[in-house]
Amino acid sequence: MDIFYSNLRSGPVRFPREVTDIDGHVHDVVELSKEYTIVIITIKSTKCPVCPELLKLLNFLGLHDTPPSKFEDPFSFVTLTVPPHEVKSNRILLRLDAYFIIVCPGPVGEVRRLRQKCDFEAYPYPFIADEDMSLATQTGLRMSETEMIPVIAYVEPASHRIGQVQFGRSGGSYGHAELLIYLKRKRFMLENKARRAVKGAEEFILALERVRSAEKSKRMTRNEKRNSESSTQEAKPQLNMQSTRHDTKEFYAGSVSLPTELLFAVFDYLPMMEIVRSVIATCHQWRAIGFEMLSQKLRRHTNEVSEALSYHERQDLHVRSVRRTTVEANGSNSPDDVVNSTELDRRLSHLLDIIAAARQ
Amino acid sequence: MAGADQKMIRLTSSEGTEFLVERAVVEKSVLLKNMLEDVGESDLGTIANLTLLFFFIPAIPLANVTGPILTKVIEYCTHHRDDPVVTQEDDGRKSSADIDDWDKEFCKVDQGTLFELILAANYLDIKPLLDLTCKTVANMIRGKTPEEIRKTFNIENDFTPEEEAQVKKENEWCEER
Repeated sequence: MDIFYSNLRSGPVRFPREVTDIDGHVHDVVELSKEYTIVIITIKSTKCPVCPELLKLLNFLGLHDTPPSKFEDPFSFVTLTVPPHEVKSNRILLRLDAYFIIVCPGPVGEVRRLRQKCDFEAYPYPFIADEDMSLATQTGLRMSETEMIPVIAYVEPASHRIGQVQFGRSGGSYGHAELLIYLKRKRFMLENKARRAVKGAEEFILALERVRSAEKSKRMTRNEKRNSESSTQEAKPQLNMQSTRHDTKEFYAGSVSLPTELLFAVFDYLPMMEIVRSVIATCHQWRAIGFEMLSQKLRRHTNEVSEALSYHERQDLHVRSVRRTTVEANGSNSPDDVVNSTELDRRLSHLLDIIAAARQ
Repeated sequence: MAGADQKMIRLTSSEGTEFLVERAVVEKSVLLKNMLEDVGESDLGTIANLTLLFFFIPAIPLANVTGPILTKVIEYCTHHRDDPVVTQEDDGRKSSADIDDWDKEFCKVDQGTLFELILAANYLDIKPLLDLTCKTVANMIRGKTPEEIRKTFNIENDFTPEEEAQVKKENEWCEER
């Protein structure tokens, strides 16, 4: 995707860190960009007949809870329909992943009417009335005294540079397909990465289980050996008790012991690296608990990532084929479990951290 | 001393020592709170006359908690009596860093007492106290080598020399980090 340059001297264009909408609400773009993919839609002017069609199309594609069953393009006279499963997956992209900021030159009243006409009033998305064309100028999108170049753009979270999704707009070519491809591409890349991590984690859990079983049988063999030794040395029961007490499921401080489940509670406050580095190297009992914790944490984080995915495994497709793909929202996961890309990324990072700590 | 409107509860430790504690303090324990709710309001009543309380209200026996530990638990619950009930989601990303000064001071006890506090908090179902004591033990482990941990907690090294060599080899990766 191309980055906008207002001119070659000034460098890449950055979107303001804060914007004030037509209702006087201030929106913190920096904070929003940490949670969502910020999508800027510029409207040429409030009088433009083409631009509002894009907003109506977004509603039709799945942004709206009850979208109309068809969209009749007033310019190309084509009637569009979207299968229900695609509406579902579009909704994930448009509602969970994206956050729209609509910028339009013109007085507040007219921009408000535009918002109403496009049925965007119920959304939290800010409509910015660029009355003095300052935002248009700052972003290099000023077309004339009263018009902006219509674009769909995204804001890079860290740098706030504006990148292009679709430049220009005309009847029949609104940029909605390009926007969906852009959002799908982002989600697909993340989900593919997440799916690979889940697969890796599942394999790793199995490996851990094998190590744990081996540990367990080692401990059992050792206990049996000690028990048989103790039965032949009845004169030293105290010594045997002392030497074997760590093989029981308790951890002692003086005469006080902690059962295994409370040791779990203690270790739960330790970072994974600490468990791998120290806990599992302390004694056999701690080693067994450490492996169990690694396995539990991996399972928990794997599930968190896994249930947040929105696509079926068979749709684990290459990004290049996204354009031709009909995407189905994941039937195995409840729609409530699917999270937005940022949250998925967060969960994935935790899972990868644990895998990295455990994979030594 | 409790005011006329304060409901008092009698608790008995494992050795038979009796403690007279305000109900609001006792109810920091989920176990005791549920127990009191099951018994019902009428059986407890609002006691203005403490003598009557000792004669007519049966004490709740806590066979698993000794007097000194119960004293500490009451001290903790009294200090935190007005704390809101925290329903923290267990997200698997717990931190042992956030202990306030009073709690830190409270946990400056010998290891045996600390472990007994963990057991009591678990038995009485006082989650904040259980969290605090577990965090404190976790902090005692944090940053230590396996050998230092064994020394701190008097744990026997039950690895054979071959096993220990293997564990050390496994851990070389971490030591480099």
